[in-house]
Amino acid sequence: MSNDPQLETIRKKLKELLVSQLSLENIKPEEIKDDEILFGEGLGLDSLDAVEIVVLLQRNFGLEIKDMNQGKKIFQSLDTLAKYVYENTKK
Amino acid sequence: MKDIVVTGMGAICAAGKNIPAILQSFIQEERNPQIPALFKTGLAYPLFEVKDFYAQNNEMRTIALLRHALGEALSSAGAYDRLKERRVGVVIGTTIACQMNDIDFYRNYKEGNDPDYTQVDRFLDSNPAYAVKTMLALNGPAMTVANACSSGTDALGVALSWLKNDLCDMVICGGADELNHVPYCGFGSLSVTSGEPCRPFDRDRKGLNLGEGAGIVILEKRSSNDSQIVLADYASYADAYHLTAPKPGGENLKRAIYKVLKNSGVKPEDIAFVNAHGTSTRDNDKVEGQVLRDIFGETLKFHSTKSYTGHTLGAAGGLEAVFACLGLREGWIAKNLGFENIDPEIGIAPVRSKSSVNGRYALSTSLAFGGNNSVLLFKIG
Amino acid sequence: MYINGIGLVDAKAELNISGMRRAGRFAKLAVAAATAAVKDSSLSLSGTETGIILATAFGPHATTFEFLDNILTYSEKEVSPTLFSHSVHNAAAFYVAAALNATGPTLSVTDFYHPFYQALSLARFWLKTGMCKEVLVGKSEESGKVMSDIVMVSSRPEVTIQEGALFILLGTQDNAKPYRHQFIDSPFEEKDMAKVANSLRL
Repeated sequence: MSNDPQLETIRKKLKELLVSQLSLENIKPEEIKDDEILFGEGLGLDSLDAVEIVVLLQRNFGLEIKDMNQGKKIFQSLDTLAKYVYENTKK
Repeated sequence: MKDIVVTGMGAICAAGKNIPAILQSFIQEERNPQIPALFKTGLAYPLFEVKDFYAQNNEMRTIALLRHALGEALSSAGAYDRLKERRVGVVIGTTIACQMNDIDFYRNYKEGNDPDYTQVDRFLDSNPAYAVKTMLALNGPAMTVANACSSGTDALGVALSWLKNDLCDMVICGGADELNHVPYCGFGSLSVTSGEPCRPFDRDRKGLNLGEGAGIVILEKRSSNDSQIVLADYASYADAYHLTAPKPGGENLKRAIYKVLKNSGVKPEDIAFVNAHGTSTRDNDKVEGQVLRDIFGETLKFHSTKSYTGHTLGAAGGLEAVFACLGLREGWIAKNLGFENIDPEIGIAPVRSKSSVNGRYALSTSLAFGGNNSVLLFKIG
Repeated sequence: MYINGIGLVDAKAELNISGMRRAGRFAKLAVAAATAAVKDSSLSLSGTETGIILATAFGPHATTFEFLDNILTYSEKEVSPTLFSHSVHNAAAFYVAAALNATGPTLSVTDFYHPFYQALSLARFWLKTGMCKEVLVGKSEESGKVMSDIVMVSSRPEVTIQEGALFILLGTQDNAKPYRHQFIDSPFEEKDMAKVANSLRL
């Protein structure tokens, strides 16, 4: 599954979206690791970024996070985020 | 130093268009938040609208609400005649009125569709303190506080400073905010709104409901020995922690509460009740609830009147100051609607029914986006 | 009362401030001016007893219009919470407090005509009554096409927008370089405030 080109495309797009939508400084999309931790450490995102990611998913992938408890699990790392998008958008 | 006393009060919110009507709602334990009628939307978060209330003559709704509560406050103070002969200041809190939150105007402007520029004039005429100063031709300072959810409380703090420093003889203070489509979308996007009526401090609370209204208090130096409500003190400290989340542990709210208690020589057990900020969000109620538990313990009588009014943003501090004064005057506080189960993370419960209160002191607390923690101490005597 | 430091930032300023990735220009101007005022004073702030009063006429209006753009462009469920939370007048004061670790009272005030005078007067009272040990009092204003356009067409020609930010560090002691203005402790008088403001190039 990790070699699925569609998953790889999603990862790449997510990295770009995170950098641009969250105005991340001092990091380029390609510098984000595939299994980068998003909150606390790693990218060091916070609760405001979390709700911004919810909007980002809605706008770009048509995915709706129903509540932030669900969001917590999905947003743990770039890997869990990418897999969530992959699982919910594959045809 | 003479006491600063409350000589008049006025209020309008979803619970009633004046104080007697609001008290009735409190007694009947009534509330009816609904999806918006004021504007068209596809979102379904319930709101606490003031029904059958319309601004006249292109006046901004926030100013119309303010004007309404102001009338009740000035009448109850018998103040109209005194306005000319005294140095009268005005300080009002708001969040909506100071932004050009007019979607229809902006859409027309962007599309080159002959936008209605009288809406811009209206915006420029709607600085609330300035509007009141103009309405009443006042001769003292006018200040509009834009401190998000603690604006109304902070406005009373400013008024106290002005009176204690002899800048004014009388200050009209409080807060006003209307329901508006723009913050409705905004608060929704922050995931802090609830799809059901709010449940302050409850274990299963899901978020806030927005509301609208105005709460106005007239403050003057005491001139008689009759029993009156005194605004004894104000304190405010910032978290400097996060723009939208309160600092875990609530140390700066604690600082503010301890400061007003210490300054007035009041012990926690002397507090008859607390009108809490109690927005019904997971974060606010947890932090605030824990602070109240730590300082006052489980015998504290406290409630969130936002369960009747919704979160009225800039108006909240003004309305809640009025409600705190009413609690001391009437000797009872309203049931905290929506509460069923103690949240184990909080450990204490607000009042589950209309409750008589004993004691001369009451607190009103406000916590704002941006991290302000503001507290007012009222006294009766 | 003494002005112990002044920070003035004008419209041409390049604002690269770390820790403010989501903030708009309005907040960055305020933080730049406030930190410049503290640096100018060479004093360390108490932090817990440092007050902040930020005055503005229009606040972060450019962010408000960006948020309105969101509402028009995307659906109601897809608007940016970051933009919304930064469109409120008091977000800038939060950033100033966070940049300086100031946990005293923080107030944002707004008026289209003379917002700074009221802020200054209140700051003096805060110091007099011991509400804080020092106060950063400032004004921030950002320019923006939409607000400039619509204000120009309005029937209120006396209202103008001039981009820039100013902060002064006010204290009860002359702890730093003596400035050309000391406050004489007298009741608030609008003409005195006007003199001070003029000389500070407000």
